[in-house]
Amino acid sequence: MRAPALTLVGVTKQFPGTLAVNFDPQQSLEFEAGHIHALVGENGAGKSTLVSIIAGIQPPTSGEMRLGDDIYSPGDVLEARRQGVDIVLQEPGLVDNMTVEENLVLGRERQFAPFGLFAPQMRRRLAAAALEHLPRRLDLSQPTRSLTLEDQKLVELARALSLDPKVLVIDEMSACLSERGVRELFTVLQSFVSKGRLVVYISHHLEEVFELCDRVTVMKDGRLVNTLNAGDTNEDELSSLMVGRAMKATLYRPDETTHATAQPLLEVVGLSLAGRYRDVSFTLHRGEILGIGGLVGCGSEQLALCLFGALRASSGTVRLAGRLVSFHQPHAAIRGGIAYLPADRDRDGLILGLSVEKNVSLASLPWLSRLGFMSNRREEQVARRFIEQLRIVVRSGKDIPLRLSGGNRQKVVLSKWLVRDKEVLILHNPTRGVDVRGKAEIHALINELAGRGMGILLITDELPELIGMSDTIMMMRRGRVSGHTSRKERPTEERLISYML
Amino acid sequence: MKTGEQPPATIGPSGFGAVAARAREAARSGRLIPPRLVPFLALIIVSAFFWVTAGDRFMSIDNGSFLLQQSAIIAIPAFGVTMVIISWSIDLSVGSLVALTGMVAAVVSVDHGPVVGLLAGVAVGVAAGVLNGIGLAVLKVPSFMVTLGMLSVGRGLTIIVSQSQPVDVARGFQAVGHPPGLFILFALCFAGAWVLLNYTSFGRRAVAIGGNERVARLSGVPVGREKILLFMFSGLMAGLGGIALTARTGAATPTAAMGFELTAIAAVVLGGTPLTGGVGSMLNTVIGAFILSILLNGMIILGIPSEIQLVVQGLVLIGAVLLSLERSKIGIIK
Repeated sequence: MRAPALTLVGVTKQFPGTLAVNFDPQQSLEFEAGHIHALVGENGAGKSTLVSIIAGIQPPTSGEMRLGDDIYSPGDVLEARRQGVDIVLQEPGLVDNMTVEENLVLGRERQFAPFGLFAPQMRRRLAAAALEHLPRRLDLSQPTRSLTLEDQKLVELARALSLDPKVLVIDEMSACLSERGVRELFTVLQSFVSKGRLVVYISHHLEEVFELCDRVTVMKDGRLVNTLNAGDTNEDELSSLMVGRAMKATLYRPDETTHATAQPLLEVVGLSLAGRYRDVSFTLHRGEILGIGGLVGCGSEQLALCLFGALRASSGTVRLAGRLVSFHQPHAAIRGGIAYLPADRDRDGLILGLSVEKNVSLASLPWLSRLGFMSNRREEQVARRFIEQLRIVVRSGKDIPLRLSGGNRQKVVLSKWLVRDKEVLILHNPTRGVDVRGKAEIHALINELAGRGMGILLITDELPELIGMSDTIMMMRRGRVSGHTSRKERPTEERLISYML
Repeated sequence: MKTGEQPPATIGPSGFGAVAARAREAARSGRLIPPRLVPFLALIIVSAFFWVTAGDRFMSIDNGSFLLQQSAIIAIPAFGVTMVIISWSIDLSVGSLVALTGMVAAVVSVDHGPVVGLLAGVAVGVAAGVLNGIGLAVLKVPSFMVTLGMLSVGRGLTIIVSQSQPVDVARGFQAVGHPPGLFILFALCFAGAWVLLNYTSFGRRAVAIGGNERVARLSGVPVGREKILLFMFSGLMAGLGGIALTARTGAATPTAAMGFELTAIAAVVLGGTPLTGGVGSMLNTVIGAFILSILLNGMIILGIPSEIQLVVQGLVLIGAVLLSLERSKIGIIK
């Protein structure tokens, strides 16, 4: 019998205070060539730690890895890459002031610089060949920073594929992709494994697992729960294996509950930001969840930043509770009662090395201090309250978010905005990279906040979330509003997609 | 969630958050000494070294008192620098500002008496700090360049104000530069800086900006205003340090405190506060100031030539940065 493409035996990874990965000493996990093999599990189940070990980002504490028949123990990412293992992460991984072309050939200078001098023709050919792996056309000479996040991720994918790895790890990449991007990713991966290669695929979207993958391994608390053929199982079974109990389908809010009132809270008229979005108008009422959907780059993110005072709109008016407002700085918007949960929590939402309790209090410093003096005890109490209420898994409030899983990090960011009651909560992908249970908890919380009379602006790339949570939905396409619908009309994903494309 | 073995010292008092983080890292990498103890250990080693080599000339009551005074002079401006470094900026102008404020105080005190002189010195420090802050926060010039410019401006103004002559201070002025006045000033500055860093929203905002300026801004920290206040604080501390230094020497000279910005930064870094912002401690800066003044004083006692002292001081600064920089945070060294 042929050896599996990749075998992990008895792998463990110890972090101070936790065993992030914890296989039994003789337990092995085998990945067959020609398969797309999914790793699923809740946040903090150890999936990302495991693949970072596979990709050489960090060494295991104990255990052994084999590539085919050979012992595989990479010292770093480059060594892993040389041995044929590559990874594409959720986080952006390009040098953003360099062009697409430069990024694609980065680190392969030997192939286009014969005597230490760059040969532009060779370089272009090499880069163009790499881009051939993608179904969509991108401009090689564009700087990557001007690409959408989706295109950036696809460039990374092309770069990884151009090195023709034996094993390709995809960690939560689809979280950055639109529906169309996910389609393209699937096509690319399927053709990749048809050449006898292996893909290790991590995603929180179980439907992706069923559509794409051959095998599924479920992890929980760093342990291997089970490995199944994707064809022999279903979402309910996987969910219950992941949480260790059967999950009811209450991922979103119960259907006909609405807290929406007729009281206008946020009235936006003709808002525009040059080059990003144009002539956006809507009214958000108290208690309403207004969903905004669209492809990555449709302008919804900039719209949110303008409402929050982090960007200046070029024209249009915004009324908050009837009063004309124009916030020039986030701190003014926050004082006015607006909160903003950014899409990229690690870059924009959290100070990763600062304790959880200090992160939680960051947006409420004036309230937590008297004449500038902080009450550290009150701060601790506030943090403890949210740790209990939102069930954030930490050892104490002094823990740093760097050590927490995605879902727990997101709960810390949410806590930050709940310390003081806000009028308008702008949530951008609030459950991106969050496991099933965390998702359900966050959705319940959003519903509860709407019940308290807040207006919720829910910007999300996930159509089920958009449909499942919103009272009204506004779709955007290329910076313009392309359609409206509401919960009563029971919109389908197909209909929403037609507004997006 | 599993709780395995915990390294000792994971949770320290708030000022030691950083050091605790590094202690965790050390526990992982298997280093023997928790980094939070390194500055204290360095202090003991340096003291022991000079005790052995210089004997009673070093370990005497007189020299002890001298060391305390010298440390106070270094530490006071270094408190301001600590705050700036915690916010991931840098202040290179303190040396010149110490000289300028001391000079202004001395010149004004000649005609208007010591109290007005002292206030004038401090006011000049605050004003220069505000200008640094505006350059950074409003004009968006990197703090490294703004304060490098101010270093030159401050020195030039010092020479202009002094008319290139040393200026003797007025009677009564000297009190702030000698025990017990100097020690009282030092204690007040330490207490003030410590409270400001650990128990005020001002300090918290500085930590947040140093941790991640983008997140701080999106969390409602008025970043521009905070930066101006931070440099104002640094200017204030430089002013207090300037009058203390002038009072101690009894005269303000145009070349006073040459290169003192490096001494202050060295004290901060030797204390273990990384240049990469987000963390730091005032107590550690005091330790750093002690280490530095013992080193300088010990070398003088041993008769080491001043040019060699400069070389040693520079190497110690680089060595301290080497130990304290959180490389994981910057990734790329420029």
